[in-house]
Amino acid sequence: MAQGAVEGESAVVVGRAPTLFPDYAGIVIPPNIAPLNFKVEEPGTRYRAEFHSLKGRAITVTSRNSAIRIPVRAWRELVATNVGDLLWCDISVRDRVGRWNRFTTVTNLIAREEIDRCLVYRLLKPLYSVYVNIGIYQRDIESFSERPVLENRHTQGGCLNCHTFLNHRPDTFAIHTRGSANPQPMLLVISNAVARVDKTLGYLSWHPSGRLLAFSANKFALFYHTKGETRDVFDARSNLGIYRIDSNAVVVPTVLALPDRNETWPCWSPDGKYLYYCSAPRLPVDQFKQVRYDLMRVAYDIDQDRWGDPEVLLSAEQSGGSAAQPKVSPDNRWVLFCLAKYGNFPIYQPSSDLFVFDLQTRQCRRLSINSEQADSWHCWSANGRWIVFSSKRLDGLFARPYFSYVDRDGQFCKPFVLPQEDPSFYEHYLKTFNVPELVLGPIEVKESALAQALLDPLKSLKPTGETRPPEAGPPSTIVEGEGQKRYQPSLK
Amino acid sequence: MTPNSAPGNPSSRLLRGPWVFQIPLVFGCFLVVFLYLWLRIQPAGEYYSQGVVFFLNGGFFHRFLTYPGGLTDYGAAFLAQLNSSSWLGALVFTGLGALLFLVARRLCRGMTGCDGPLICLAPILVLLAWRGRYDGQVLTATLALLLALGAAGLCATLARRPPWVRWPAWWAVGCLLFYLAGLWPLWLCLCFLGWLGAIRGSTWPNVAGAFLPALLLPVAALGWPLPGKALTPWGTGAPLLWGGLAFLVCPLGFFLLAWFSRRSAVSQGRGPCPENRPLAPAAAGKPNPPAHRAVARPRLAKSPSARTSPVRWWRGAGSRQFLTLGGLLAVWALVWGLLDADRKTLAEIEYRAALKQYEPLLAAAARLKVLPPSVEIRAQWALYHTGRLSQDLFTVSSRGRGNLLPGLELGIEACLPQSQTLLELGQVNEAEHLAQEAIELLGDRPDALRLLADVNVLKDRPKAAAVFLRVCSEVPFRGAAAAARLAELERNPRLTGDPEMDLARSRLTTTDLPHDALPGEVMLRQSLDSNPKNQMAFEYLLAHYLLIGDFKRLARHAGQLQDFSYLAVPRHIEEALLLGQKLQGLEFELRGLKIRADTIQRFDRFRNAIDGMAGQGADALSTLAPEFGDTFWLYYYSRLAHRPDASN
Repeated sequence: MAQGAVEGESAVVVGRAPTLFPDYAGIVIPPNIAPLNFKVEEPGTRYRAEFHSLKGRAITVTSRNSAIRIPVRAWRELVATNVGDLLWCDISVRDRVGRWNRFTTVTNLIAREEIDRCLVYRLLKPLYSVYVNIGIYQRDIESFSERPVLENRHTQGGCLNCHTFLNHRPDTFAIHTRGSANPQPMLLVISNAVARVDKTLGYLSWHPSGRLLAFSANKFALFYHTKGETRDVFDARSNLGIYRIDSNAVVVPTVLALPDRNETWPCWSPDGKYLYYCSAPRLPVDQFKQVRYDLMRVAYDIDQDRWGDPEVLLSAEQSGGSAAQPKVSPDNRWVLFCLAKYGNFPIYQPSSDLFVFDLQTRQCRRLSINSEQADSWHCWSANGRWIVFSSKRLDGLFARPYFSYVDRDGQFCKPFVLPQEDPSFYEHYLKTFNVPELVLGPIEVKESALAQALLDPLKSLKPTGETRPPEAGPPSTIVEGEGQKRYQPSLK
Repeated sequence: MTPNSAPGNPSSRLLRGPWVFQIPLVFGCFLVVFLYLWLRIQPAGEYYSQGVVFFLNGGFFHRFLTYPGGLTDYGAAFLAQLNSSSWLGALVFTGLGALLFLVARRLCRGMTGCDGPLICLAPILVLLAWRGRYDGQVLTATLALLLALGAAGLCATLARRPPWVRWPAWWAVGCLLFYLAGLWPLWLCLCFLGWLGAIRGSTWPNVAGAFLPALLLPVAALGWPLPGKALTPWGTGAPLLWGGLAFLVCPLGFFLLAWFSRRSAVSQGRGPCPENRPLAPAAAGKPNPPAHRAVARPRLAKSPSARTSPVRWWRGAGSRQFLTLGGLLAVWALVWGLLDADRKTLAEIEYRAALKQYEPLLAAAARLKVLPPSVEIRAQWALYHTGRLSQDLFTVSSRGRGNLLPGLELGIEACLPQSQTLLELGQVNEAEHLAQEAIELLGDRPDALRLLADVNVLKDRPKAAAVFLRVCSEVPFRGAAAAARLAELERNPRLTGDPEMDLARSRLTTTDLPHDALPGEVMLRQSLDSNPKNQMAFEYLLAHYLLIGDFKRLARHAGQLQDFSYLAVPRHIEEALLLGQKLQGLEFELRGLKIRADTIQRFDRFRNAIDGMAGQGADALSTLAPEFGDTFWLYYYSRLAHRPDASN
């Protein structure tokens, strides 16, 4: 028997489950996830965890300091050979008198469906007005490897935000930047070729065809409270627009830019037939607590370039809250969105919860995976069986990425935080995980190429057309870029 | 002659010749370096003011592995933590200086055949003078220079090896040096390597073989053009000049030493240095003698030709020692004179503020002619804690901007001091805001992290507070306090029973005022509305009205002095009420308190003085400063009286 192993007869059975940090008990895990290292938050002098399932060799981990770090290779073998089965973990703790205490077995389920291999997120401090260190990073979910996609120290400072991928592909994406002189450009990566688009665009969403990018043009104002959550954001005015990648032109359809309403948070449905978004009446800033957004969609025929009529899926009146960040599942059935008391910046709203709207039944429900703190910035996996979202549930201040399994009936399972090599990682990490996005593989375009494209681009696009329509609301127009080198995307 | 006194015996050399002079000189010099650092520069002040961040964890270490020179930065950041005790910081720097001297001396002998103690001491003296400027990363530069000179010495040793060993070894040393210490050390090492090649009469391929890979290495690693951070690792402006000087002083000194000693040798017909054999160029086809042999055999006896050459006074041993001592004293005088007294005072203020030593803080602030916003805020805070905010405010604010809570208006440096004040005032969200701004720009300073931990406890987010405290507990030497607080937090998530937290909690604002920049007065009134017994808000509000010269509001609030247990009217309030009465016919009710007679008499003197200045310019007011410089009256007339709304 290995040193520290439990002698079955002498172990005292504790009639409860152990307290683990992070809480990796009773969850559904992807078969390709990195080892779920954790700390046993029970007093003791020695710790032992045995992971086993129906097939394969069990893994036994012992530790003197409560941190259970599972060997990567053995974990992969065990999980891969037991896809669809339960994974048990028996935890024992030796107390000061040398007696082993055995806790109730922790049971998890290994899902059949894998999760997308990489998670791309932005790391930053809980920022206010000044930003110095911001970066977008990619984490290999199957291991603990994290690499920068682009850090702002390579781009002469400035803010990097809202990385958006086409169909979860790592080679085609957009990153918006701020900080340099207007227009604040966007980096457009298509099949790993990088170009700078000299146009200020806000929240982005790729049409599944890769030919269009829906964007919002927002006029944000950061403001503060003297009680409760310190920061808040007011969107004084916003519209949606379309950037046509193939013709390098910006168009603002009238239906997406109503003069008396603010439209924001665009999201194309995976079939490309609808654009989902949020819309609210335009109110002055002193009525910021009355600003509540409806969940909307509008039909679009890409072949005819024809827009339908806006359709209210869930009005603010019905929901009693303000909708934000709609994301449609890959099977086009569920719309996952945030609902907060007011406003459209859910990460600053402790009241923000995740809701799902069933497009078949037209029913909406609050998810059981929510917490007392802000839950937002969600993203579906490519196969639609997983979601990732940012939650401040651990401490109320720092957002951390959580995963949840979604079954075919739209049931969301208990969420768990992204595993880290050091189980106490989240207990002393001062940055917040922002905009977690799942992608199918690692981003291969080099950081230096992105930085160069921003500072000294080989290809620079200056789309013509307005991101904001005149108040009168003109007819939809498409304006070709003139005098610019046409950027020909070569989509796979 | 005894064996011990034989010329070739090392112990005899220690007792004779230059060593008799050099050893006490060098030891004395380093003793002075230590004392100067400990007692005059006071590294503890640097520690608290510069707030070099260092954490004992893998993640922090990993950051320094990602760029050339990172490990030197890491080492310097660690050594900077030792500055938390002045004597320890001084000892560390003195130790580094001693190492630097030894390495430089060895290199000097290898390159010039001479000892040159003054030149070998020069880098540490330059670094010391730079440190007295309280500007830039002196420890990083010191470590980098040490590595550069060490690498140059190693390369010189390797020069004796055959090319197939020498070249790869040089390249490896170059790569390692570049990775450890960055660009400047690599260039300095190359400079010595080139010199060595010149001494040894190396051929072009030999020199190119050593140089080219090392020159191409930074371009390959960093790209072209080289990034600014690599070229200016210690900052731009003065730090760059100081760093450059510290790096150049050795090669320049060695060059001059070699040149003078060669001239001396030519004129006297002997070796370059009286005590050492010259390092001769390699004869064709013959290898050079090993460098250590070339320099380790002193020729103490003068050659016959030297005896016959004319002896100049500065060539005598005594004269040279005298010149060395004189030069050293002159350099010391320069180092002493270059100390930036204002920056030293600023550092001391940060140190006193961190330890909450209010009186010494105010004493230090009194030494500054002009108070930067951060110091003014610290001084106002110290005045409040000594109960003198309404008594001595204008001893401070007459030299500052006259701002109590400027927000972000006066820069990031003013954020952290304001955070402390705001936290104590009960404006916990504002405190969080400014502290977060500070750590984003200034790094994860332990004082800011500790403050944010308190903020989160007050906002009922104990787990977030624990995150800040855990990070804080990873700071060497100061982490124990954070760890103790963390343990207390786990037992008592609201930290009830902690007097500071209890007081701050009792002052928390109870209403929400959405804003994009909250004026100080609104903030203070909100704090007072939330808790009418908030003494700090009351005193700050009075101070605010004094600073803006609002007589009416001041008079209204002065009526509440007794509610806050005042036994007498604070001096500045008296001064303002008297002036308001004179200028605006202000009426006030002090509810039993009176204006003291000596204040009234002093005001009469001031009025007479002002009346006597009628028609004179504002500059004439400065003549009143000796007598009335600490009064509200002079502040009002010099700052506020010319405002359009002054009569309101």
